[in-house]
Amino acid sequence: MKGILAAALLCGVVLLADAPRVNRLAVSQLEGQVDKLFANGSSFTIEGNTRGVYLDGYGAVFTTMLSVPTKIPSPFNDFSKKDILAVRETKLKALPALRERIQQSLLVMASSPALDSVRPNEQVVCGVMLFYYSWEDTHGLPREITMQAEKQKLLGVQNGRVPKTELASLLKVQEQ
Amino acid sequence: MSCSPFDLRDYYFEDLPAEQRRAVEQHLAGCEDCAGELERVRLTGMALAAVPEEEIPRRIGFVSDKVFEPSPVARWWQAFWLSGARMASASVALLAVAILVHAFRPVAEPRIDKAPVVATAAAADPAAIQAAVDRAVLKAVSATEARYDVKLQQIVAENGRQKMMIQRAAETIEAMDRRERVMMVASNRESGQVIGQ
Repeated sequence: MKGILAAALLCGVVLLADAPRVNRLAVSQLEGQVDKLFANGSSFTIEGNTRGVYLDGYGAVFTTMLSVPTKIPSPFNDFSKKDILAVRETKLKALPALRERIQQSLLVMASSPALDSVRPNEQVVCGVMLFYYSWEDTHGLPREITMQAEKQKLLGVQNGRVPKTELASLLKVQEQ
Repeated sequence: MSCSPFDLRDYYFEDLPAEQRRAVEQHLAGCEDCAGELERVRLTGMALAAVPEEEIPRRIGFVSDKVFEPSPVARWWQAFWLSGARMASASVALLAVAILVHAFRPVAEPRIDKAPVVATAAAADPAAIQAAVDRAVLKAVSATEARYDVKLQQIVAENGRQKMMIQRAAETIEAMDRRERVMMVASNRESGQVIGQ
């Protein structure tokens, strides 16, 4: 009898250990929130919905694909070099706003109940891939911007313990 | 009906003597009906006056009259023209005459300008002739190849342009497709939230 109880207890411990730490449904809702954050009132178009995944021992990683809407050429309106450069200028001007949106999204993610079970020392990552047409001049434009920080640091900013002006210094940013 | 003492048509056409005319005029001064009748007569007279005068035909002709009978020549021509066999015979005869004329017609000899043949030293040398022919052929071939090269470059450029346009269109369609999927996912998420609430 004791053996059976011990086996059942062991199974329970194993099952609990394998259970996902982050609820998928909650993450899905957070994905929608992040989509809205990028789309609403901004000059970006979502090209691919935000997807989030939790990596045990590392943290939560969210990726999304965006583009800056501009005029596009058509068989009736071919683009000149000047038009292509104008598109590039528009996209370059939109970059600072995009970086700011990514920072905001990190704060939203860190404070979301969906990531409650992410440990404070784990990372919250937001990767944004930018979509470009093949005809575009992408010189000086990043294809991907990734920002990440420890969850507790982001929460510090969100709770006001750390001034928002220091947020940029807390982030690890990669642009390629 | 007119109640005038004299006929108003006679009055209008001035066929009445002066005394009767005066009597009519006095009556017209007091009778509206007769005055209206005279006005109608006057209008009719004016309308008739506007019609051009045409001479009345003096005689009416009939088809059976001799004057309408065709002449013997006309009758023969009509009979000939309406007869298919005779027309065919005449056509064959005309064709035969044309063939005969063409066969026995004297033919003029074609005029050939006979230029004096000048013997040159180069013409006499077959190697020089061959070299001249080779040069001419090479020149002609080079010119043709150059024209083809230009054409080919134009076709390649146009082909490249078309290819680029197709590629751009494909990219645009792909982007639109992607955005449609994004909207669908967003819509599904919204519905999920509504159901969840």
